[in-house]
Amino acid sequence: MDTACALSAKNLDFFYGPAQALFDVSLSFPKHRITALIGPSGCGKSTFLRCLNRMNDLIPGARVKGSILLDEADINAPRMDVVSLRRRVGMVFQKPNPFPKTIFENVAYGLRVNGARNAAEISDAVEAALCRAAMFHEVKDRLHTSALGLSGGQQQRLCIARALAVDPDVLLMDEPASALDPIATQKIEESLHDLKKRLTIIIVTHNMQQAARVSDRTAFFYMGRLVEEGDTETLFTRPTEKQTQDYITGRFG
Amino acid sequence: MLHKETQLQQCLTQLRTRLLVMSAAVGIALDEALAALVSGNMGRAVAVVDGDAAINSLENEIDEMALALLARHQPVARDLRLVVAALRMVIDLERIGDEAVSIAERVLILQGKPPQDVTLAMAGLMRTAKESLKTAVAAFKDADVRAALGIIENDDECVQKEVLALHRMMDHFCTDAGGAHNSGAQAGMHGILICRSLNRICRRAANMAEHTCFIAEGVNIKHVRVTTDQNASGRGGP
Ligand SMILES: Nc1ncnc2c1ncn2[C@@H]1O[C@H](COP(=O)(O)OP(=O)(O)O)[C@@H](O)[C@H]1O
Ligand SMILES: [Mg+2]
Repeated sequence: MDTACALSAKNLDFFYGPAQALFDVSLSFPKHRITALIGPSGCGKSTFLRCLNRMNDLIPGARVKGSILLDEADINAPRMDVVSLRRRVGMVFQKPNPFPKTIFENVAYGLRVNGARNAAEISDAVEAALCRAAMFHEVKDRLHTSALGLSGGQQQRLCIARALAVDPDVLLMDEPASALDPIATQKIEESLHDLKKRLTIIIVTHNMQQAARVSDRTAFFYMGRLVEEGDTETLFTRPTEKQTQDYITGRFG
Repeated sequence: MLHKETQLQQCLTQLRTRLLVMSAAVGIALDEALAALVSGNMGRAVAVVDGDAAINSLENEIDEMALALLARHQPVARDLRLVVAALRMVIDLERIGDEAVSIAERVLILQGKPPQDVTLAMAGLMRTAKESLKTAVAAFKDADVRAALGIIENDDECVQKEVLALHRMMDHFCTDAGGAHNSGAQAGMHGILICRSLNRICRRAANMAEHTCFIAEGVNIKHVRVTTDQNASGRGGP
């Protein structure tokens, strides 16, 4: 496997019971790069993203074929520990989903689950995570108030901070800004740029301009297949495949 | 999978249409300026000078359309390339229009009486300039990369025709320079400057051909030398 890649899917098929949702997808994610997954709704972006940290495990009848390598270890191998996998491959969802706890406890949660006990260490890690999610200064005076009192954009950045607190290698984001206004969206997009220095980011977005703005690489999915993948600039200026061209220029969808 | 034209597509079609309108206007200006030169018809020359304002305002209009399109629709891929090419193409077209005006103005300075041997000297160059522009516009209209490449490779022909015209002009200049009213010298000088204009028009037409290639293939072939290999195969050898 290419050691310059954080994560690498090979010949991946995925089934919801009898219905196949992914067909022979091979896609690698270079370290410290942001890869955007684009494609019309229902093409399998979320399914593919959830495969990468085994979030599909709980769905009855779900079945996966092929391999996903995280530092040469197949994440679907029996001896892979799912908790530690999800610590290394974190996830942020479309709708901000903070716990009904304080801002501080939301971020500290993952640290406690992973066994952190030292209060000073936890406090430092919470501050660091909030800083990396570009929101520490906004909330530093109310860390111990409820997270549910934050605006939607702040809640989403809190969820990012929560995911960052355990220092993952990869961050999966499923349309993280689709419920947010342009200013809140911009704050998240700006923070991604800094975040990639420390980790690898894979972002699903139905907003093509967003993919063009934030990502280094873009992968276009259509009907469960990977149609084209490449350098974002190239894909948005001279895509190779006609289907890609038609989709990104709005000829179908 | 396909659906009706989107707003973006309508705007792109409009942009393309306005570019073709501007191309046609510039083509007419060039044809008329050269017709005025050959026939010494001052009225036609005046019409070319007056018509330039319309070409300039088309340039502004297309410029604004392209900017609005970028701001409102953020086009990508081939659509983006068309808009970028349009922004470049209007500059080339406007300059060709300016050269046509410059030629028409010389007809007026010469009082509509350019000596016949001056216009004869550059007949070949005039034809090349007109044809280059026509072919460049047609190549854009039909997205014909082959035709566009043909113009770019034809670079040489324009240079040869200009050298030939200049040689003839110099002859004219030298034999008549000492004439009673010095009109030979004057006509020769304007003739040389008209040759320069025609040469610039050929170059602008080649630029337009480059934009057509850029729209079609997404590669910028500007400043990339055509290799001798391609040259040889393009001409079928010596
Ligand atoms: N839990 C599920 N059970 C059954 N089918 C599902 C489930 N989730 C998604 N699908 C189906 O899988 C396909 C891909 O969906 P999804 O990955 O959500 O697409 P996208 O994120 O690109 O919109 C769709 O046809 C969808 O209906
Ligand atoms: Mg989805």
